[in-house]
Amino acid sequence: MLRFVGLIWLFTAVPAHAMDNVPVKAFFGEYEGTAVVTDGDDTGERQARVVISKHKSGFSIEWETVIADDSGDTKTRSFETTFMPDDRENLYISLVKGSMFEGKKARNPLNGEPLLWATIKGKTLSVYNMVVTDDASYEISAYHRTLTDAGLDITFSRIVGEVVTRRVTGSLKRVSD
Amino acid sequence: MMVKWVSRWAVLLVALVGLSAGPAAAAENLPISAFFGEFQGSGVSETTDSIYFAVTQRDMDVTIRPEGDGFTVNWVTVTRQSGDPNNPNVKRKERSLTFKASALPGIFKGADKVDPMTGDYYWARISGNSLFVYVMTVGDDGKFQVQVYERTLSGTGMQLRFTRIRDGEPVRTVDAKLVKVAD
Repeated sequence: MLRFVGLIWLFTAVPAHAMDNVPVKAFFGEYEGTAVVTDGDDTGERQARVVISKHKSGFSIEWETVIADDSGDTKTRSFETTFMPDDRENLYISLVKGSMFEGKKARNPLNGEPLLWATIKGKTLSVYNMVVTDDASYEISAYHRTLTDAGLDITFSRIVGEVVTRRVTGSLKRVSD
Repeated sequence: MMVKWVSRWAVLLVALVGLSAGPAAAAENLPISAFFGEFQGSGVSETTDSIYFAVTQRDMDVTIRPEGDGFTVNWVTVTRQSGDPNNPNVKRKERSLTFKASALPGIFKGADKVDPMTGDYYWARISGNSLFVYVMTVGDDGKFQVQVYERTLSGTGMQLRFTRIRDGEPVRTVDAKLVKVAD
């Protein structure tokens, strides 16, 4: 009987535990590594750096990508934003800069304001950036960052309509807390 | 001889003008008034959500009417995609959305002020003969869903292409043909 109960516990408890969402502080740190474009116009490697840190009750995220061309010249792209917790669990919304409401003010993508939000599922922190394009179509960039023993596994995809036009994957090492 | 030469050049010129005018004319966006009317028809839905109802048939009725400086689109869909696959349940859904003109021609904003993080954020645009309506939602789990209704005017009515995209993956598509039954 005990064996039977144990078996039930095993089948019910393990999946529930596996689905636990880690707290956002588990992601705090600085990460560096290499990412590879697997789908897109250009291919090749790029150096990536991500810093995730505490900001009030939310967090800030800063990422930088350095791309070298054949001649050795480099191009750096960087982005930084801050997220505050939403009323809903595991959901964070980007701050509206200069707003006293700190993330509570609704954005209007049709007015050219990008809509950024983040969520944690298991060990993965996902950041989404939605924009309405000039022709009133839309584009969503999704950044998934999954905690590993060494640091972060990253996946980026750009979705235009129903097509993924760009995908980048990589592994980053934690270089500082 | 001279007449023949001139007429050949005239034909070539007309052909060139025709070639250059064609795509330009095709690229022009129709006014929203071209879409006004009532349309009825049926279509086929494909989904990855259900193995028993992966492909189903649906009937639909679409009415597009002027509203202020914009328009209202009302649509009714009758589906048979749940219950016993041999005797499916019939379900009727109706929805209405109103759009206001924006500062840009051919682009319309949702009449309701909606926070895209908490409700259905919607807008519309006209491209050529097609009216696109977008409805975007962010779920409680942070995953997004975008529904795109592409309604293209054809000779007798309208073709509809509907796509529901969940977290970047299309989970349902509907292709339908509708006939204009009233202005």
